[in-house]
Amino acid sequence: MPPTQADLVWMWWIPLLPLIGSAVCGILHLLTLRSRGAWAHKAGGHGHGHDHGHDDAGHADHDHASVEAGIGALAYPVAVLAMAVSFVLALAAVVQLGSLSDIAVSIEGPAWQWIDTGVFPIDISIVIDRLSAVMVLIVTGVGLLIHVYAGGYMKGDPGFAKFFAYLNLFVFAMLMLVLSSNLVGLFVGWEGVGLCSYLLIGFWYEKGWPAEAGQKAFVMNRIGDACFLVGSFLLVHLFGTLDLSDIAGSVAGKLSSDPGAQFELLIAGLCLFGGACGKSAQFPLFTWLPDAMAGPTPVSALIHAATMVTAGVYLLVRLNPLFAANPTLMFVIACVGALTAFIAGTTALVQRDIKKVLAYSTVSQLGYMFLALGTGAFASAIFHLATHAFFKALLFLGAGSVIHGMHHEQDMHKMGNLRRYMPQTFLTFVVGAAALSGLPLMSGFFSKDEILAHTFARGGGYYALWLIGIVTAALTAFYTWRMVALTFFGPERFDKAKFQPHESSSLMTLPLLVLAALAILGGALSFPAVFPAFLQPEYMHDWLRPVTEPGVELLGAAHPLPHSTEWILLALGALVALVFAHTAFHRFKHGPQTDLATFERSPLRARFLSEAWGIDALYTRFVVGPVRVLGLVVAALIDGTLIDGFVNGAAQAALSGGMRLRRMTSGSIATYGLWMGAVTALIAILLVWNR
Amino acid sequence: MSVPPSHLFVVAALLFSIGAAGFFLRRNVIVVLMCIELMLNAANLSFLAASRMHTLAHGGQPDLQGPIFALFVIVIAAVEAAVGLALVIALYRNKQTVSLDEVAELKD
Repeated sequence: MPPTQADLVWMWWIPLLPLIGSAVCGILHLLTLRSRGAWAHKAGGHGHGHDHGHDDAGHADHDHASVEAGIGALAYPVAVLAMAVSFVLALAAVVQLGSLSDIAVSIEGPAWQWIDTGVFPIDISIVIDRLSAVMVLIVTGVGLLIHVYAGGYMKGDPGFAKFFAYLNLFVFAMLMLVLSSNLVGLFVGWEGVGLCSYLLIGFWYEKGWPAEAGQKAFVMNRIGDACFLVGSFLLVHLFGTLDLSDIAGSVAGKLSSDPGAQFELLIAGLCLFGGACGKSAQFPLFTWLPDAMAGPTPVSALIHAATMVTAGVYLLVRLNPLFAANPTLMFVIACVGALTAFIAGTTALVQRDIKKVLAYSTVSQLGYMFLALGTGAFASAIFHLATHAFFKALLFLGAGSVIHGMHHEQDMHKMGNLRRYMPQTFLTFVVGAAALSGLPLMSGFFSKDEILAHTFARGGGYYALWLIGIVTAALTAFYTWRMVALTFFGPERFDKAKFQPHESSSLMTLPLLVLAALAILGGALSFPAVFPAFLQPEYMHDWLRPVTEPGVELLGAAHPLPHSTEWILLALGALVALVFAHTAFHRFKHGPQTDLATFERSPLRARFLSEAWGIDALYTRFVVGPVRVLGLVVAALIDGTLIDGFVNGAAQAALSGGMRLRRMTSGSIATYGLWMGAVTALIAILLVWNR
Repeated sequence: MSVPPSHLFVVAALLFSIGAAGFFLRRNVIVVLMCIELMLNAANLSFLAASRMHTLAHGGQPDLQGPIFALFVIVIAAVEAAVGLALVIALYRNKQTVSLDEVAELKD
């Protein structure tokens, strides 16, 4: 018997616990600020003998850090506990969902009416179906691990409690995004994660450039969000409802009953796709993501790799029939995905900053997901989303561990041979790299292969996209193993007299180990179709079938590939990954000479690549520049002349009028009497006149 | 024997003119206050004169509006005198003068 809504009140605790945790952490932060002020007042300039645990060169204010040991440190257990309970509840909800006999059923928490527009009500409601189940597990599960890790990474930071307040708030917003059953709730979450992303990118705002990076991310996301809103309005106009499953379910009926709606559906789809492009960093709106690396590394792992940036993928899968209704739109999505994957892949080849490599790699992998969406392989996109969340979070956390151990050095040219100093980080990082580059039997191998196989199966124009995909796979293997070689192998290129790299605390390595296990085993979520039946091949497709079916039906399923072709594709993928991983590793294991040679041989091409094909420069030149000029013109003409003129004119008139009137105040009683008499006489005359 | 109302109006006009002239021309505060009293009483007189005129016109039936107005004016005038003289005393205490020319601090 399916549970009723009233039985499922506890479902609300899944998003609410992080929200409560966030509020508690925020209060703890305020208390910290207060005690810090009191402490500074009492102690004055008197030195404080306290071991910060680690030396974070980039963080301001070391003297104050010691106070954190007090009340702010409580934020860590609070935040982790909120995440842990939330994860357990999510797990329980998904187990309950899985036990239902009818696979199309979703479990729905009680809803409250929020706004009554007069035409349709807007509810605050949450629902877990098979798609949100996957997302919720990733968000809470990976989120929990990253929270655990962040306790080690952020230790001693003056904003320790504030960090966890933001991080928990982010998880709340992300959960609302994936759990909400209507577009408005989804949009609230959508904007909430954008806000938290902004706050966390600019977390170390006193350094200057993180604040700018935060602003850039926020503004770029606004472009996408504007598209999203327009798309939502169109959907409401077309379907008269905000309920996501209603919209997804009625696209096919709408098309057959009203062929004229085809165009409006296309525009709505394009707008929502634009929103997804902004959030998921697709071409041409991807330039904010590499800059977002200014935030603390756990943030990069959670928000800018595992969860928030996948919101666009989630949206497209959630509303899949809307996109599948138009094959041209699907092809455009696939093209954008492939192009993004390729551009970002080439850019990652020449980055020196370890986090930048990972950032461009993330953009590239998101491109893969959009390629999958464009081919109608929605489940493959979610599969890659899941495995990517595992291995990319692992890689980011590993990179964070390296940066932590290297005392905030991010330039790989100044690393080398770190495997001697941080063996656990090294081992887990290699696992993550293997998964990312798609070495055989790792999770990334299966998910990437599935996407490429589906692209190949579509045929036609998709053959070209498949080619781009396989080239990008080669690029991926290359830059990944270049990164591993430069970081962990070769001569030591740092000054050992200054500092000794060290392994991070177990608080940080434990999440690495768990994620490494997931990165290896994640492929089991969906083995290739050619695998024997007892391994449950394409399990993810079966699991998501109720969600993806309408879209696949509209688009028409691709011809399944013959087994021989599929085996060949698998082998080809494995071969490409192995060959390029091997080449990169051997080229860079002795140091960055090859890099330097590349830059020397053709500096122009190297610059072109390292600056992501100059797209940022184009924006600066053709968007930022003109907007700035327009701003100056508006400031000078409209604001300076018109508005200021009006305001100043009013003030001037009052002033000069007052100067004239003040002459009446002569100080002589007789004059006042005269005025009084004259005015009285005037009034008398007027009264008589009007009789 | 009775005085015709027109004569009373003439006296009232004369009183008012004297009061107004003093109000405008004199500098001594006390004199100015006295002149105001003169003008008020000129008004009272014209009220009474008008009342008498009405009484005569209506065959001896007394018209009480005028006297009542005059009564009110006398009360107000008493109050005004009290406040005015208090101000004058305060002024004299502070500045040892009662001349209006010497008190114009609030002009600017």
